[in-house]
Amino acid sequence: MQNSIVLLVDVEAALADSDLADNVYLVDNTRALGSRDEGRATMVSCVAGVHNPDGSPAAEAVLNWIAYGISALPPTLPRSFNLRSHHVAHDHALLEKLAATTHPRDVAALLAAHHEEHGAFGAQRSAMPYLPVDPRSATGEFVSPDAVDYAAHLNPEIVAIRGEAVEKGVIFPALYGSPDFYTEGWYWSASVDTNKVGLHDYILDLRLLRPTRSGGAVTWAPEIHPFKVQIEVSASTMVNGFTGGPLPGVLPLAPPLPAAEGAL
Amino acid sequence: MTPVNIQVFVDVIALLSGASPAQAVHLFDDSSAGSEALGTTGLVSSVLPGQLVRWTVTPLDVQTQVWIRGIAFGAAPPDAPPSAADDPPVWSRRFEGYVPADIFPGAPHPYRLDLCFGAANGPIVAVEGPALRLVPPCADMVAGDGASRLL
Repeated sequence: MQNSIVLLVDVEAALADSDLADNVYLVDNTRALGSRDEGRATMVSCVAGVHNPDGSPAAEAVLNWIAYGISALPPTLPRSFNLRSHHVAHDHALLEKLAATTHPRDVAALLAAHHEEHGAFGAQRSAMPYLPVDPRSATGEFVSPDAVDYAAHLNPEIVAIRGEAVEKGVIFPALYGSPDFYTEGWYWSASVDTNKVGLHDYILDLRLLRPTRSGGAVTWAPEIHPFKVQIEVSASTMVNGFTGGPLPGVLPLAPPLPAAEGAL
Repeated sequence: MTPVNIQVFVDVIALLSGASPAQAVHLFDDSSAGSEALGTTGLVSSVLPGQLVRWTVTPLDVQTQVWIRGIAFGAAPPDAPPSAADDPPVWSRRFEGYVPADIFPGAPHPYRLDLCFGAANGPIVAVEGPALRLVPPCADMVAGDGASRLL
């Protein structure tokens, strides 16, 4: 079974408090299995461990994490959708200027100017380290990377999963590639050793970006905020759905027809 | 004798959004004695006396939750109580059993699959239509490429 654990982060408030504790809201998809404190920072995700009568695992358990900024672009929209021809347009403009140029010195100047303004020809990039190429607000409007209030529109990013549950071999997290735009092409997932029954802590390291204006320039400084989360691994023994016991029996088909009895 | 596996694939979102079981549930088996209507809820699986039959359910969207709550044979009415109680939890029930050896072969034995989803006291969807058909021993050898195996 796959557990999905979603972190909603109030990025603006977390930056103001320099603390995640009161600014993170957790939800998951296993409330029916026993997860507690849904919607709070103290949520405990229930992981259903199922074992065969001999103790061997009878089902696999997988955790998935995803972190959203509450004010960030809705995940249903690819963030660069409206600007999908943005870079191509710059490159086309450069090609038109180059076509109209006759002197080699002008070509060099055009290329240098383009490179300074937009980066290397044909490449997608952001002039701002750590920032997405096309920063957009929750309403889909373009936001200048120089705007300090842009901080709230950036999703927090999970950069590490560690702590007791990892050290004790309860969960085995790893960063996997994903075709999803809204996770920047990556997501965290872990398999769970469901023999380690009980309550376990782990720590998510979330990276927020803090904009600071000094003089005319804005600097975006990454900050890593650790955040403790809990899972509870439950245990149940696999039983046969027909017999209620550990072993399969004879299927409860309809009894033999009376006519067949007489014939024999 | 190898078991027969009956795989139940469920488009959970479609099923909970109003699609009929016939549209959103697909059954397949690996019976060596032949099957009918593979991929539909009308799957008829040929089984041999004494053979182990094993049902498993898989959601088409891998992260959704679906479980077999119970399997009822015969002409049980759709609102009959499910074949298993709430304990143990639905995610720790394995549905497998042996085909009786004392049942006359030929007629199909229809069954109903009760599916439930990731919510306590949530909906239960009854899937009607699939059946097991008992075939005489050695029928699998005739049905398959069994000519060489008979020699």
